[in-house]
Amino acid sequence: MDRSSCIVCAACTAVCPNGALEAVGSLMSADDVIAQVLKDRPFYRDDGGITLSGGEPFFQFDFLRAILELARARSLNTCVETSGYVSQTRILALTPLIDLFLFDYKLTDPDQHKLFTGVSNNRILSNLLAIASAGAKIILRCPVIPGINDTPEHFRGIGALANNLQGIIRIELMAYHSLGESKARNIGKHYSLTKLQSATDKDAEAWLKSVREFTDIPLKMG
Amino acid sequence: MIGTTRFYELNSYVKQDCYDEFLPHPIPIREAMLFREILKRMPVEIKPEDFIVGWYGYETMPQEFSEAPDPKPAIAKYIDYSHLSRKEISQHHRLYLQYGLLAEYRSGHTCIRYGDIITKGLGWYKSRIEQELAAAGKGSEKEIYLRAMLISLEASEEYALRLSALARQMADKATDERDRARLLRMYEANKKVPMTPADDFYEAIQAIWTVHTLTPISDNDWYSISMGRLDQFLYPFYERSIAKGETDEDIKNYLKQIFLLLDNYGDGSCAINLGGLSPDGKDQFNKLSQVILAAELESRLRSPLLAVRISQKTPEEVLLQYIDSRLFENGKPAFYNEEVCRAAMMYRNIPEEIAATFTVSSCMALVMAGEETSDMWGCIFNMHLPLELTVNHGRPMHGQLPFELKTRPLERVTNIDDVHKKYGEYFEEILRIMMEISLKTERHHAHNYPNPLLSVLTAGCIEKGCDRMWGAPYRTTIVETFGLVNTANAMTAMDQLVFHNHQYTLDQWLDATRHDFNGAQEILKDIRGCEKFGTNSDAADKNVQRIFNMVERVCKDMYYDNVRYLPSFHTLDVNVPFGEKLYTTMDGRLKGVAVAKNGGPTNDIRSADPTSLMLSSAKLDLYKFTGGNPIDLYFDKKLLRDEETRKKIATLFRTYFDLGGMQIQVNSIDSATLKKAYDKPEDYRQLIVKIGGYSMYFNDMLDAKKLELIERTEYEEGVR
Repeated sequence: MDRSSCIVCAACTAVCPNGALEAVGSLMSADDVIAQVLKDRPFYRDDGGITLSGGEPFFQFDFLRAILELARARSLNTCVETSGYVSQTRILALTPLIDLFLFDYKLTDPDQHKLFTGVSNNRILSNLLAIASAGAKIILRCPVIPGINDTPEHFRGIGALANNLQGIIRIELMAYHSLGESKARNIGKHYSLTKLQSATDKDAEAWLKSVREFTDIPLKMG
Repeated sequence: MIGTTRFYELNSYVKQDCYDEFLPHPIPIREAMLFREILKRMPVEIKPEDFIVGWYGYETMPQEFSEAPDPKPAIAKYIDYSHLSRKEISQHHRLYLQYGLLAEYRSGHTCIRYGDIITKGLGWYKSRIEQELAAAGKGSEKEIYLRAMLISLEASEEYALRLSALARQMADKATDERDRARLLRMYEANKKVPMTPADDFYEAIQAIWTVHTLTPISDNDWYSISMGRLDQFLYPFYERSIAKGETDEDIKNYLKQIFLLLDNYGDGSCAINLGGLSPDGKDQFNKLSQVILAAELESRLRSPLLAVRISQKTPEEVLLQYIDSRLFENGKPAFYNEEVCRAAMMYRNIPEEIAATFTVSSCMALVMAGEETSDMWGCIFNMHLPLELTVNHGRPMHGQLPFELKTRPLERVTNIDDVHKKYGEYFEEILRIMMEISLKTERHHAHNYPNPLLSVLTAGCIEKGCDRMWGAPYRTTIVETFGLVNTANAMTAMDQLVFHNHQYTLDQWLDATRHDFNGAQEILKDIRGCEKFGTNSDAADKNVQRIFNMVERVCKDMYYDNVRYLPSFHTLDVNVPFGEKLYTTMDGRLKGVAVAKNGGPTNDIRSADPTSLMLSSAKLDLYKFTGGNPIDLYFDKKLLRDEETRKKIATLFRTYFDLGGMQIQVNSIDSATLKKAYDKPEDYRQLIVKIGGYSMYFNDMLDAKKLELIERTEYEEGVR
């Protein structure tokens, strides 16, 4: 299959005789989404609601806004997962509609951040500050990759953010696992970290201990 | 069940040896005498760590028993085939192999009323028998049966005294004072119970175990002999023991030994109930329930099965205790909705105040303990067959049925309403034929293998002087509806592709199905692309509802006297071997593939997440399938370690129960499950594993990654 020619029409999935191709995702309006969400309403009780993730939800800003407004109108709690690398105007515009942010924090050192993600962490930190000042409730989600960011400096950085920013209610460390290789293969992408092993429970314990030295904010493995 | 395999050998040997001697006696007396002889010869053992005397026929089996030849040819000549001929028996077996229809009385799956035994003693039953005997006509059937009942009680008493004598023998030889005291306690207790009432928890639990031994021996069947509401009828005895100075630790240790014995002699469906409601609506989870749970958490064996009864009044902290990886890893507990179960019992026409005293028995049945002869596997019904007859002009897809049907076939099949109507007619006619067969097998069984002991312990049988097959206040046969969901899915697809879109004709569909869809990939793809039950699709769920409603009405219409036919979704794991033998079905299920399990979806879909499945399931009036309605849920063990997630699972269960769900069966995903999923991915399409904060379908993982996950899981389990 030549992925470079793919226009995501999904016609190939209909004709594949063995059903080996699957279109993941479909076109839906905000109303469609909310209708689907409401089917599970009996299970939400008081606390349940909708979590929007991606990709990056803010890259579909109008769609995201529409869903959040409909959710609000239906008294559904809302949660958005974001990398934080988005327009500040936009993220602030939707903050009043978002009950909880799951906000990624990958690396403290700006040069390392640029090296491993391709972008600086300035905008991300600025957005984090901005939404916190606007009264957002935030869970800081920190992927920890052995050999890359499992360093005292980064853990100190996590602790500092948590201590200084009102609104961060919890830190979740996300241990690296290599199972994303399956997903990459499925969508025809190259996976460059094949040599990196998944983190173990022992690694996780050590990381929690390290971060705990810098902050008392509730902390767990995600 | 290694012990019971050895026991069958013992049983064979004794039968070979004694049949000629006992043969001149009327059959009930012959069976009682055989029972007594088996109990006399059965090796019994007390192990150094035992509190309760309970090991029998196990490692101490003598050589002569294990070399006993198969008794079937020798004793076959003694079996009376007047109620059921040999020809009929082989016809019935062929019917099951060819068409998936089985109607055959199956013993086991018993739950007696231990509460009466420990408070009144077997002596109470004995005096009632003697009273009836005094008035019974000499030589009458009643008199014969009563004499057989007496023999079986005498045999039970002799057995208990053997246990007592063994304990005494060992006590006399004991050199350690603590051992001697322990053995003397066993000696005293077994002199007393189960013939006389128990005084404390220790004596009560010994009585229960002894009778729990006698029950399957009398029935020659060990399947799912349940103990019932242990935390209720043992509670007064628990209080007495605590008042006498024993501790929860002592009680827990007695229970742990019982669990070990249950695990050796039973299967994974010996149910102990926890909690529930009193008839006047009070929560019944008590201190003994807590100790039983503690014993389970330390034992972690396959048996017993904990059947936890959840009501609106069950405190949150109790429900949370049940959501524990140490329980889930053994497929425990089975969660029951108390209110819906009570409604199911009432739907059987049992008055509310009596229905409220129901017991959960085996892996999914609701019974009146000590009052019911329950034929739990009495009918297996291939739900696809009536559909074949409906759309194929009154003929099955393959071959010819061995009986004539009166239902007139449809001349033209043009819409789904006609299909449902005709389907119902065929279902009813075939079920009635099956139940006539079932009645014959019951007569055959009751005539050749009456069970005087169990009849003593079933209400009303002493007064009637007859076998519990006829004398029990309730006689139930469960109608297991295999492939109901597969069939409904076929109807949903048919409605869309044939009746609405006219893409295919029924003849084309039947032809493709007969040929296992070889050369018919197009139609197979289209069928599989249609809506399915378990995804909260109204279109698909409606067809399940219609079949469900028809089945429960037919079964209820067939009630007579004390006989009840109870429809059920229950399959256990038999959906796999059943599917292995079953031909291709019209929902696109290929030949040899498992049919849908329990009340859940077919294996070919993956969008049946727990909430969608629950919402689909809850559209049915589940209490009307009074034979049982489990759905199966799998949980990654890591989820169960997190307090917040456990609370969410509790909410999930409560919501399903609020919506009318009856039963939830749980499993946690361990390395064994993952290995099975690796070997047979088609059976585990819905398996979701949690890695870090991320969940994905196991089948979507690369093989190398699957193996890595299996390795990691084994490492975490400590097996690697």
